[in-house]
Amino acid sequence: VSETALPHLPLLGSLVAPGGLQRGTVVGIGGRAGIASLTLSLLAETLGQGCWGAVVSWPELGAEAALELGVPLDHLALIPEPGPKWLDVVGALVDSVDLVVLRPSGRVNVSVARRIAARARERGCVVVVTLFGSTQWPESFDARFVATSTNWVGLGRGFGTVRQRFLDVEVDGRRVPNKRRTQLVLPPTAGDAAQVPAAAVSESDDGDGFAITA
Amino acid sequence: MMAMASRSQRETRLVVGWCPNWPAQVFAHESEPVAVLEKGRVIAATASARESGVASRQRKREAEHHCPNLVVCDRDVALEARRFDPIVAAVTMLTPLVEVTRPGMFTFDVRGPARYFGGEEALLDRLRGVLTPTLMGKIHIGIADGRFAASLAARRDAIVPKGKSREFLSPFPVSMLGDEELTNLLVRLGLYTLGDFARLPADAVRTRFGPFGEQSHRQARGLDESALHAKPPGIDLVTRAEFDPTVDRIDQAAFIGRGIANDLIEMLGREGLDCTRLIIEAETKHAEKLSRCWRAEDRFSVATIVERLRWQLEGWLSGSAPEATPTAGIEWIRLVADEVVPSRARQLGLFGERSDADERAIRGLDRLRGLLGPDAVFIAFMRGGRGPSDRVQLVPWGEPIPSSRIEGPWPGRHPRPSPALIYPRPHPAVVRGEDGETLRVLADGRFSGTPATLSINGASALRIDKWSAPWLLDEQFWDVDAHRRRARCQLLLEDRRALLAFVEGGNWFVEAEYD
Repeated sequence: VSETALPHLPLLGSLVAPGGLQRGTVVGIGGRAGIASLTLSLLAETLGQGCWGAVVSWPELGAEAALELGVPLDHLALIPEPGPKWLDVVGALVDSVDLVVLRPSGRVNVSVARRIAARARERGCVVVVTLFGSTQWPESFDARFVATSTNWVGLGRGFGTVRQRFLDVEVDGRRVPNKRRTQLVLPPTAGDAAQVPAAAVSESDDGDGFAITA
Repeated sequence: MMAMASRSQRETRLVVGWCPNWPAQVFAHESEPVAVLEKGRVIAATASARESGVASRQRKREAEHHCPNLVVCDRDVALEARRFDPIVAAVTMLTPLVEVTRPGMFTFDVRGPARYFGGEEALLDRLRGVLTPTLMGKIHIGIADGRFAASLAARRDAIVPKGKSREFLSPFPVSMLGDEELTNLLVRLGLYTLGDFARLPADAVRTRFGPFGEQSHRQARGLDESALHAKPPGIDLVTRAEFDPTVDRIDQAAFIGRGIANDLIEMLGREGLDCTRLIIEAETKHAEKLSRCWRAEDRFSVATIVERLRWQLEGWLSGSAPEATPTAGIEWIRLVADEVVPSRARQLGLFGERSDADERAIRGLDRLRGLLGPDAVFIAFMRGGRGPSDRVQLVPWGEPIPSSRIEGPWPGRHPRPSPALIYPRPHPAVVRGEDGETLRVLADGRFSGTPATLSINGASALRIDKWSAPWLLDEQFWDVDAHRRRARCQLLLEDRRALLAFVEGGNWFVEAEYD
């Protein structure tokens, strides 16, 4: 396990920078849809290599979906209801695991955000902040993933079931040299990273003509 | 909220029967002093030899120096097993599931037979009754809660009252835990008795001594170390071999036995399990049957399974109990993994190779549990079930992960991929068809119309663009109780959200989102 970068599949980490997701950074995940799927994919990429993760104040997170995406559940601690000491909880986790997922609600205080970032930097932990609904993070992120549109495959009008989804994602942030856009397929087709099959792009019925940069 | 792990840890009340110095006892005639050597050192000696000064770990010459007329033998485990079998057979008359903990020690669950014979005292009388004729040496019997306490109770011929195991264990020295390294460490810390050790807080023990220390700590507190090791329901961990023609030679049986032992170990590996208790069954062409239950010293491997199979068949075929000697060749043998534990390979970071990252995470999560209490930090694991929230169980951090991973066919289970967001409480919703009526699921399993709109929690209705056919959760509900019938379906809304919804008693709920 690298000292400076978290292990990763060539997918999400490499979107940030060629070397992958750097330790000690704060990453945001937001958008209209796909926050949970993106977060789980990031966890799967990281924890698969023997790292440990934790998810704080997110009781809705689907463990089975996590497992299907490749998250080793025995290396993922869940603290669904941290209570009033949540900041202490995050602090203790940043000290001891490699990746902490946080689901704040509402607006987070600037000094709190700075303390978390400083601690993460000091301990070499990646903090992932999910930005659901009205959640706002007062600091700029080292890297930010925002899903801009989504399209499901497999379900019809009265037949089939949800199989895969195409997710258009924008990546930016202080440590991302160039803002990028890409399209992901989740869950990835078996044996494949979340590469986009060429045919799938035309199937997308609200393709904004994003260039595929992955 | 996802279902919490149920932690009813009833301590198993056990009888342990123990023949002291069994490896030496099997060679003993009359009062002749006998010592048994393994790797050149004494490992067991009869009482008369010990009185002369023979002790464990002595070399042969030293032992003979103390006791000039000493009979020295090399250890013969097969003989120990063969000689022990008549004792096990006798106990089997009282209760069918007697476990051979090792040759020289048997164990069984006291509850059933004690109820049947009218109490624990009465059961012990019965037990002594059936044992007397078969016994060569003295046998000690004890009863206590938990395996460790019961084995020490046997040394004292004691019945330890219910709930008193911890008190009973308290004065014993820590060396009784059988872990030399741990013993040295505890003694250096000034903890000499099991009672001293038991008073340490469990969290501190886990952090300081790791999982093995934690297990010993549970033993010292009189908690049953195998309380959670029950066999998971719904998985049959059984392999079987038929012999045609029948076999009457042990090497033939062992040869084929190795094949099915291998199959069993592979089967366990696929489930992520190790076997700690094994039942071996054999039957002859004349329907004579011999079943024995064996406990592993640690965890069974192919080699140790085959060894137990040999011991069992040797005792049977060699005619050590003439009335029970089979009259025909063996027609089949069967191996049943009766008790299993999560495989060490799966308990990443908790056994064996621990990385620095593991150490750091385990310490940190222990500390967090100290900060928040025992029911705040969880590890998720999958179990059987149909609904998205039934299938996940949260186990409090620091407690063993149950081994039951129940693979059903689970008809009615939601299709993959699974939803990434599961609402702790399903949101009430209204689904209307194109005719504006609430959509229903008909008795034949179809929708009553074409789904058109969904409103969640009274919010404004959204158009349903795509939907799956409904699938029924459990057909029995449809037949028996019309109000409890439940059907699930997937709905894709105009805002591109894909949801998992169900309808029960005419009411719709949204329970999960694919996100």
